[in-house]
Amino acid sequence: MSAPKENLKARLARMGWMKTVASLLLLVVVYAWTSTSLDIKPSQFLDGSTWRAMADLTVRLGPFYRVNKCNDAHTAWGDDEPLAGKPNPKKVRAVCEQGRSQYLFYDDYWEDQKAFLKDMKDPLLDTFRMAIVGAFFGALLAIPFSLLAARNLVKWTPVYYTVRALLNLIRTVPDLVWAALLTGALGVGALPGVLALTIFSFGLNAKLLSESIETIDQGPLEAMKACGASWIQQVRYGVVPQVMPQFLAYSLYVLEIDVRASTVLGLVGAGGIGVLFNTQLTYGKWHRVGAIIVVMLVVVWVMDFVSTKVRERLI
Amino acid sequence: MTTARSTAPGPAPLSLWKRWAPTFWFLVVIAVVVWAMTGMKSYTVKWSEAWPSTVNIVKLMVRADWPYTPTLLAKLLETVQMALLGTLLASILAIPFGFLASRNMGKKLSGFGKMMLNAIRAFPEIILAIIFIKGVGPGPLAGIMAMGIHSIGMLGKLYAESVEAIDKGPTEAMLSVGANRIQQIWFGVVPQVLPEFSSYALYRFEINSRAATILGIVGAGGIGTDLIFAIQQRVWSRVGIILLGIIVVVTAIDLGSGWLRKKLV
Amino acid sequence: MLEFRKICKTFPDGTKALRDVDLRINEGEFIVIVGLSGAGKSTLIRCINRLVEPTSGELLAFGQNVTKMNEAELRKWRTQVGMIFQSFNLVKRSSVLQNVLAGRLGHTGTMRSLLGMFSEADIELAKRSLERVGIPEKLYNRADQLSGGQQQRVSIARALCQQPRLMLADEPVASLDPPTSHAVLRDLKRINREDKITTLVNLHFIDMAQEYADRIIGMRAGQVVYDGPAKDVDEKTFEEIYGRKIRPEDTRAGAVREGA
Repeated sequence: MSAPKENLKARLARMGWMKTVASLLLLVVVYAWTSTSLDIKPSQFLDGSTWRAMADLTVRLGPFYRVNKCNDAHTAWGDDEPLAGKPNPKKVRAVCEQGRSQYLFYDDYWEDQKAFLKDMKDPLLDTFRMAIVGAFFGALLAIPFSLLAARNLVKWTPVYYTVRALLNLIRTVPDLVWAALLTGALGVGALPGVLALTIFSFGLNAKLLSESIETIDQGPLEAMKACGASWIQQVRYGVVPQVMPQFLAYSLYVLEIDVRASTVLGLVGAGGIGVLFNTQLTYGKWHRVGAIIVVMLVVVWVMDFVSTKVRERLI
Repeated sequence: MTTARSTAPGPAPLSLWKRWAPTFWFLVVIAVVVWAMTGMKSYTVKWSEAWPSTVNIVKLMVRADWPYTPTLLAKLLETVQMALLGTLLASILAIPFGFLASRNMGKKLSGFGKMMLNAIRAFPEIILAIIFIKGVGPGPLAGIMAMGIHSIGMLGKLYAESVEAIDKGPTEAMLSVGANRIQQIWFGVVPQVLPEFSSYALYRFEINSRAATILGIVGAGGIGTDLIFAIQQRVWSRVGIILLGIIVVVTAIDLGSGWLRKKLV
Repeated sequence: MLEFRKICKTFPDGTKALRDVDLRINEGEFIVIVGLSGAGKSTLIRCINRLVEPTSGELLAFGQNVTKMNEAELRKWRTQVGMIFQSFNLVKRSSVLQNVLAGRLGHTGTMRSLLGMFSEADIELAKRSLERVGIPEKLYNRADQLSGGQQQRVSIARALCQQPRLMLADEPVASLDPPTSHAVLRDLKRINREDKITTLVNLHFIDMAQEYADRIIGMRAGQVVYDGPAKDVDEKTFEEIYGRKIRPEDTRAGAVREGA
C-alpha cells in the first residue's frame, strides 16, 4: 500500500501546522487593520512627529522644561506655591529671544522634589492601606465562597453553578471599572477604592482557592465521612490543612496585585497615589509626574521582591 | 541500630517559637489590617448614606438605556479590535525577546534580556497609555501601543520560561543530522514551543480585552471613555447597559479563548 | 575506514569516560558494542559525530580527520552519519513526514528549509525510506500517535533519508518490548546488508548482541576489553567483559516474530 489519499485533512497536515496558523493570523491582521473605526494612519509614524512628541514628553518627565516661545504661559505657574518648580525667568528670556526650542534645567528641581515627596507620603500610605484592607477582606470573603465553588465539595450542583457564575461575573469587570463605579456611587475618596479592591481580590482569591480545593486528596475526607463527621467538620479537618499553605500563598499574590492596582485607582478618584498623579497631570507639572512614576515603579518592584521571597518560604 | 523501645524517650517537646509562631503571625496580620483601616482619613461619605444611595443606583442601572445599543456595539467592537491588534503585535514581537531571555541562548545575554523584560513589565499599562496619548493623541492607537508594549514584557517572560523547559531530545537529533543552528532551532525548538506560545497569547488576549476597557477610561479609545462619561454625568441607565455589554463581550472572549486553548494542548 | 587513535574523554567533573581507545572499523560491518552502564559505550559512539568532543586523540573516517574538522566540515560529516537514539528524539507534534524530512536538513539551504520547501526528490526519498522500514501509511500521522516501535522506525527512516555512510544506534531498543526490539534490530541488520552501511549499535543485551552482530566490541570502565567476531563469543567472554557473572536482566529474551 503506497501513498494515502490526499483529502482536506491530509492536505492541511502536509501544509504544516505553521503555515495554517500563519495564514489565519494574516487574515485576522488584515481584517483588524482595515476596520475604519480604528483610524490609524501609518504616515504619522514615518514622518517622525509621533516619536518627537514622545521623546519630548519623556524628557519633560525629568528635571527639564521646554522653552519655545516667548509668551507668558510658561512663566506664570502658581506664584503662590513656595517651591513650584518654577522656571528661571532670566534664563527663559535669554533663550526664547533666540527663537528656537530648547530644554532648560529647573533650578529648584531638588528642593521641589523634596517638598513633593513629603506631599506624597500620605497618599502613598493610603495606597498601601487600601491594598492591605482590600486583600484581607477579599481573602476572608473568598473562603466560604471558594468552598461552595469547588466541585468536589458541593453535593447540590445548582449551588456550584450559581457560585461559579457569580465569581466569573465579578472577575469579568476589571478592577478600575469597579473603582469608577463605586466612586460615582459613593463619592471620591479611599472608601470606594477599598471596596473595589475587596471585590476584585475576592473574585481572584476565590477562583484560585476553589481550583486548589478541587485538586486535593479526597482520601481523608472519605475517611472522616465514614466515621460520621459532618460536612463542616470534613472541611475543617480534611480540606483546610491541605490547602492552607496555598491559601496563604494566593493571598500574598493577590496582595501584590492589589498594590499594583491600588497605585492607579486614584486616576478615577478612588484614593491613593493615583489621585496625586491625576492632579499633577492636570496642572501639567510633568517633572512631578515623572517622580510619581518612579515611586510607583519602586513600590511595585519592592512588593514583587518581598512577595516572592515570602511565598518561597511558604511552599 | 538500637531497638530499646519501651525505654526510649518520648518525642521532643516543640520549642516555644514553633508552637506560638502561627498565632504570632496571625496577630501581626490583624494588627497591620487594623492600622490600615484606622489610618484612612479620606472618607467623604458616611455609611448611613452609602447603602441607600447604592441601592438606588443599582435600581437605575437595571433600567438599561436600550436606544444606546448601536453606539455601544460600535464601541465594543473598537475595544475588541484594540485588544486584538495589541495582543497580535505583542505575541509576535515577544518571540525574539523570549528566545533572547532564555538560558538556552547564553547566560549573560539571558540575564540582560530578563532584566529588560522585567523593566517593561513593571510599568502599569495605564501610565504607558497616558504617555502615548500625549504622543499620538487620544484614541485607540495609544491604547494599542500601551497594551502592546506591556504584553511584550509579560509574554516575553512566559515565552522564555517555555523555551527553557523544552525537551532537548529533538534538538540533539537535529544536531546529529547535520543541521545548522537556525535549522536546529526551527525544527527542534519551535514545533515544541509554538503551541505553548499560542496558548499564552490567547490568555493574554483575554486579559487585554479587559485592559482595553480600562484604558478607555483615561482616554485611549474604546468603551471606557463612554463609561466614564456616563458615570460622571450620572446617567445610570447608560452605565447599566455599558456594563452589560462589557460583561457579555469579555465572557464570550473568555469562553472562546478557553476552548481554543484546550484544542492547542 | 573508521579509526580511533588513542581517544580519551574526561568530563568536567573528572569522570574518565574513555581511556586510550584504539579501534579500526571496516566498511559494511555490523558491530555491537556491549558493556555495563557507564562503561563508555554512549560516549564512544557520540565521539564519532562529535556530539561529545574527545579530550585527546584522533578520529579518522574515510580519510578525513574528524577531530580536527571545523564547523562547516563537521556539519557536512554529520550528514553522512545517521544516528538513532534510545528516546527516539522525534518532534512529537510534527508529522512523520516532517520528522523524516529532517534528515535532509544538512543538504537543504537554510531559507528553503525554514519555508519547508523541500525538493520533490527529497520528499520521494522520505517516502521510500518509510517504505523500507515498513510503515508507509503513517506518512501524515502525528509522531506521538505512533507506538514506540513505530517511532523508532521513523527514527531509522530519518537516518536513511540522510543516505548515510555510517549508522550509529545508541541503545535503540532499551525502551521497547522484546518482540519490537527484535523487529528493530532486524531492520537495522537488513539495511546494513542491503545498503552496505557500516553500523554500530550499543546494546546491553548479550543475547541480542550474539544474534545480530558480525563483530562484538566489549567495553569496561572506558576501555576496550574485547574485540572479535561474534561467533567466537560465549557467555564466559561476557562475564569477562562485565567483570561479573551474567544476570537475567542482561538478556532480552523474546520470541522472534514478524511485525511490530
